[in-house]
Amino acid sequence: MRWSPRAPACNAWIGLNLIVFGFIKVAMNKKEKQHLFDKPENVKRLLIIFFSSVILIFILDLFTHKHAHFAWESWPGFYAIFGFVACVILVLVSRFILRPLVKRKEDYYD
Amino acid sequence: MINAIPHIPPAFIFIVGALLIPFLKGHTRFVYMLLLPVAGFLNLIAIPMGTEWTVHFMGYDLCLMRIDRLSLAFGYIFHIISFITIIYVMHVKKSLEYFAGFIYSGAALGAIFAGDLFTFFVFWETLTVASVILIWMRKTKLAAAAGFRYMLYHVAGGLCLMAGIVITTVKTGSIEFGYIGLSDLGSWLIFMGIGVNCAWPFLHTWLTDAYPEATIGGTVFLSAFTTKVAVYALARAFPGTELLIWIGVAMAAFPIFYAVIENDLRRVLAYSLINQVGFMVVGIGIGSELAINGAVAHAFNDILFKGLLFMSMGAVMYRTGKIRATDLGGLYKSMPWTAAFCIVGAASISAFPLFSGFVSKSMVMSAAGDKHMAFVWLVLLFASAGVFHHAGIKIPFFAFFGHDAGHRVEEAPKHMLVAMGIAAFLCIFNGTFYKPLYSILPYPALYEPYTLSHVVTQTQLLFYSALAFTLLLLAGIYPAEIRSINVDFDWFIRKPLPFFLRALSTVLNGINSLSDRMLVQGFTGRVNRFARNAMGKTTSALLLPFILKDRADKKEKIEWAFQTNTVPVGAFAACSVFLIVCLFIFYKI
Repeated sequence: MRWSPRAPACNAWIGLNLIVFGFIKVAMNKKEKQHLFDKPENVKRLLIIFFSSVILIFILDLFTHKHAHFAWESWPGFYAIFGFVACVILVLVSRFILRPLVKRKEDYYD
Repeated sequence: MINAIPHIPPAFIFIVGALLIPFLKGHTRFVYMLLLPVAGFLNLIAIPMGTEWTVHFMGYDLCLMRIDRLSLAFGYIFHIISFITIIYVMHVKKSLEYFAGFIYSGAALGAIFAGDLFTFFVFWETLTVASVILIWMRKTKLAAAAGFRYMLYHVAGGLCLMAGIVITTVKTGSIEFGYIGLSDLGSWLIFMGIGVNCAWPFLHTWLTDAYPEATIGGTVFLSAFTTKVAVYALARAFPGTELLIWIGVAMAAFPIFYAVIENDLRRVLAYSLINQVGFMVVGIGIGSELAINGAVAHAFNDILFKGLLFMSMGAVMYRTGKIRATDLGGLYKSMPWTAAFCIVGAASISAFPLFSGFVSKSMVMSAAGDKHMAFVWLVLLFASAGVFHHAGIKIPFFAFFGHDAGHRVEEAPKHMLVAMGIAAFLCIFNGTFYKPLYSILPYPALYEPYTLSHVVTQTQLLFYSALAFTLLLLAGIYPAEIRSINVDFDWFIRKPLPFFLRALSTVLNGINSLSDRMLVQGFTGRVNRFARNAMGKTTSALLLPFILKDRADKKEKIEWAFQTNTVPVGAFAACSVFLIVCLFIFYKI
């Protein structure tokens, strides 16, 4: 095959195009960018921070003197246990008692 | 007779100002509408305490403007939220929605500054009429139907209130709107009439039914005024009524269960609105200075954070066209500012330290504690944990986080962001620098929210509620959002009522057609047939006993003779004599 002076230019042109398309493609991929909680490790980090603050607050509670109206307010961890149990009861009652009673299809009243 | 006219009643600025709105367009209209609440506010702070605009009317003294510390606190917040909402609804083209919004907020101002029951009632009814327009402006079939049901409730409540006012006024001879207290029938009727607007249990369904069906901006308007005017009226007329404590406790407790399983996020907020009003009603029921202060402060803050939450959900709806939790999720990627403002609202309603709910909700709880109402206190604590659970976590989580529903939309329009920004700022400001808020409360506020004990216990309560949510979600026990509706107490109106109507129509229409057949067709027909030949029939009936043979033949002949007017002259003479004899006998007797 005869050497043509155009060949390197062509190759360069094709190469350049490839690079540009590559960039565009990467940019297109980048456009749907990764958001904060798309990465599982960020979610994990958040959970770790949350769980540790939950423990920290429980410990802090033990050293807090409370202005109590009722005796039970001074029990260590009363508010923590109350909040937790209240929400569990709330969810269980809503899901297993209330929902079966009141749930209807969306066109129920039509 | 008007005694003095130095100041303009705040309601007039809004209502008269609203009349000009339809004639303005574009930017002029917007600037004009922004100036209305500002002018109203400047006017309000210039008015001294006391009563003005006393008008003599039909033997009674009407008082159009009474400014005292209780009405003033509501007056301030009503102006602030009108200003914010007007910025928020800037995208709306039609003047009618603005017009209705201003009439509505003006009516609310008129009701709280009314010094007599009659003026109060007139503005109270205006509230209903203006608010129903905000619902109908959505222009969907659901909104139309919900608006009608809304109207039915409020008209019934209004009639109840009017009956109460009439009875009370006639009995006491005074029309002044002051402390009423539960005693006779009239006071009970007023109590119940206010209760309808306050969304008491079993009377509450207009709220959860209609608010989520209103327009995007309409819901923000609605969330601020109707229930808060009712709270004001209760604080004015029924402070310290023990029954209110129990009503408030029920209001605080039951909606949170519904809110957990509700799919429509604006309906979740409607349920949590009842829950928050429950705290205020408990405060009014307790009636101590601290409790009333708490109720008013919480009303003030609730208008802001509930407005903010409704605004953020409205922005989501505006951009995505969806509001059901099942259709949403992951929006923090495209609407980060809206998400941030929503979280501020959520933190405020949950009463996180440094957010507004923290400094007001605890006043009511503290007042219950001071009176050693253990049960009330525990239910309110449960409701505090519950509200964090559904309004504090559920709303932001399902709209902005959770599973990504794939909406790639623009951030909310600028004017919405500005409105939400102002509301969010005020939520944090009231929570952090609570002194200005406390200084406008009806009684001297000595309460100190930022004690180490309060901060730690409240944070603990909220974090462990969040822990429960997290663990239940991770374990898959948390109820998944389902495309469904949940029937509420309005089932008793919406389902059996059509059957009742059908039964009624069957029975009544049956009676109608039976009467038609028996009376109109049967009886009348017979009378008609008889009357056509009454003379002949009567004569033949009278004569027949004396005719011995050919009876049928003779009877026919007689009747035929009468029909053809060929009766012999003698028969007429006999009849006439018979008549005269009869008359003579009756006359003698």
